[in-house]
Amino acid sequence: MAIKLALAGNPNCGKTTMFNDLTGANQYVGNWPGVTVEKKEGKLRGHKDVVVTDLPGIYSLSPYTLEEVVTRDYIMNEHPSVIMNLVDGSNIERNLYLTTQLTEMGIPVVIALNMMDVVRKNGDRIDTQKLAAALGCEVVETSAVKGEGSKQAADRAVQIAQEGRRTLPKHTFAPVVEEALERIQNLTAELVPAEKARWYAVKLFERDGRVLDQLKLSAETAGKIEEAIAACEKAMDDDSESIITNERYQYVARVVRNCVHKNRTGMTSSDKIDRIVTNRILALPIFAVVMFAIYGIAMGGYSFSIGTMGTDWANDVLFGELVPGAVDAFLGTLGVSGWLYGLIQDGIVAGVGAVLGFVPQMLVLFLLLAILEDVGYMARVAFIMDRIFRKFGLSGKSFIPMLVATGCGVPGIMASRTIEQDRDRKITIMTTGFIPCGAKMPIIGLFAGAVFGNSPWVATSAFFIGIAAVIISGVMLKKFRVFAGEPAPFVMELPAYHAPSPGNVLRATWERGWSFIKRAGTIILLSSIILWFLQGYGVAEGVFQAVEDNNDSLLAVIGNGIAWIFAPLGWVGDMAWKAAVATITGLIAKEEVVNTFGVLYQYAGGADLLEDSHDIWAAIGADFGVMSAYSFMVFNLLCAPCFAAMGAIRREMNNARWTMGAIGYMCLFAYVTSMIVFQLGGLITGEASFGPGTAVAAVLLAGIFYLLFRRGYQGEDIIRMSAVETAEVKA
Amino acid sequence: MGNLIVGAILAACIFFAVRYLYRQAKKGQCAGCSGCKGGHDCHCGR
Repeated sequence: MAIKLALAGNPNCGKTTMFNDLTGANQYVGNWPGVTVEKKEGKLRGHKDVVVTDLPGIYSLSPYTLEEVVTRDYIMNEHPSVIMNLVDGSNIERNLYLTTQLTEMGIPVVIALNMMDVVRKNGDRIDTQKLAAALGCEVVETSAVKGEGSKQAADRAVQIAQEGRRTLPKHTFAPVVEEALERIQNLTAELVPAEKARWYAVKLFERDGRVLDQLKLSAETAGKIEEAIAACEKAMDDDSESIITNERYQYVARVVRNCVHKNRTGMTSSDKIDRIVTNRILALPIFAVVMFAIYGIAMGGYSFSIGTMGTDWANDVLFGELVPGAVDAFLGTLGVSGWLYGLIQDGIVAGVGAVLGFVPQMLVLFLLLAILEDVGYMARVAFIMDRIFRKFGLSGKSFIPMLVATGCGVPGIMASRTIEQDRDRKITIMTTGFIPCGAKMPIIGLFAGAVFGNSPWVATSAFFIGIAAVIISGVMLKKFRVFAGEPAPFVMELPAYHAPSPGNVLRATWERGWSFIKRAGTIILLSSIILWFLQGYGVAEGVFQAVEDNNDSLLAVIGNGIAWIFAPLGWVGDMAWKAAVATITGLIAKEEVVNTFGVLYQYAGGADLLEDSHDIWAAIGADFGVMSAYSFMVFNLLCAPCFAAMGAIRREMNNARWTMGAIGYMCLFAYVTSMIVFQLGGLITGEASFGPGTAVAAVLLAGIFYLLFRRGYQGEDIIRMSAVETAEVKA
Repeated sequence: MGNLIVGAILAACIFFAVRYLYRQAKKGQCAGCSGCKGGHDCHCGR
């Protein structure tokens, strides 16, 4: 019979690393049925009949979060043969709380005492034999990240499962609590399995809603249990849930005192760094400097901007000379027709090359972000942003999906599942798309190079405009009744800082870079062909034919049909239809914007442009002014995301109206912001003149200020008003 | 003849691109998604 081995433990204790180590490539990833929490299963290497299930990371088995409910339902209903409880040895006190709950569930438990490399490095010592005796289960030292001990722990767990050995909890609570628990156990002896009696007794003592629903106690039994609980609460002068929590922590503290010997007291290196990095005053400026440095190295115009150097080479040499030259020679040798030559050189090479030219910048950017994440700094960013977000009615928990969205908006939107409150989750889904994802970076890179002289301020400002958009949206939306309410509390474990692992960093960089290249080779390739056709053919002199000037093309007809919508944003003149078309194609994938410009401006310039692709940039720079370029960039950064992200919004909202509302809101916000940027900013640069557009932009800006500073929905007012009304009536 | 050769290569590229996108869509993953191999949490699959 198959053995089911369940991995349980706190978040960040190394479960995923150990799971990957134990199962290798033999994994299946999906969702737990009926919920949106990820489920991972795999076959244990070397054991064909052992299935390992990676349970969600949880701090306790309370019934409050989806992850907690999923884990306890799995253990209670799926009856795993053995639980391998990963305990972070460097944070043992917090981790053992869950262990005390797991040992009550009547299933064999083996503790994998993980991160022992960190424990030894700190000079601390854990007496694993004493620990095992105190907890009532075997303890195996492991270091999942170094691949040490995982196999031994798993083998031990399998052996215990095969022997059918149960784990009996060794922890006891205060005598008055034990008395109440015993009474509850006696009252429910017939209703629950004997091996789980202790678990059920504790849950009933805590008045656990899910257990009460499950057992459907008679009124008499429920009454007697309530009497026992009430008596204990009176004796201990606390509520039942807090009593159990305190008792567990006191027990864990005793165990840790006896079994763990710390080498040093006081602040760790991570604590010392955090004093500066998460300092109330310095945190945000440090974050701004870090992001500026990253964008400067990846996309700036400085001597150390290695990303830009790579992109310049890719654009000028690789896709400017080498590839077009080789394709020209190949096609010339084969003697292909002019239209086919045009399709390949002016359509595919120009379009795909325009996007692939940004690969060096993307790789450098992804590398630097991966280093920040691996070092542990990104976790601090979520903590820093919580402090700021909370001032505006949002929670730092909403920032985590946005951090994920810097790679791709789709997993960023899906990461909003971790937010328990529906209203905050909806706001997060609606605003996660404001953060520039990897696909939007080529748009920033293109305009930074073509119009703004490779200034790193362009990319940095785009990132912080995204954050500002999130905050402004959050403040405005929170004033409406449907979104009003206090932000959720945000509890987060900050992992210790550590040197970035080259393997992790390079793997993360390569995955994201390869993903970018795959998109270029598929979506961008197909779109280039369609775009080349649409902008190379049109009706001229009443006949459908190839056109010399793409202003006469089918694409121009379509573009001109919608370009008027964007006129208030400063997209006027010959570039208006091109900008409009590029924005629409950006809905397929945001890199399409660059691809579209690559095809349109390549063709417009003729074959000479092949010699120096920077002429494409110069052509774009000539068509766009500073403010119209910035307005275009802002619009495409903030407006509706790509179709894939829209699909993710649809799945997470699970409601067509909310989905349309979210996308509509993003488009409206983008339009208003871009209009304000051009109409008011253009007055300074001279691109816009004072007129109706200025007045409308000023009114819109005033409207935003009103929505930001108005009082908004106050739920308590209704209660206060009722109290006043009642008092007046009584008087 | 040249048109035929280049056309065939192009048609093959288009075929494989469309096939890849279709298979990704069937799996509920975006184009370019690396699946869940990297040991990171997977969020793209349905």
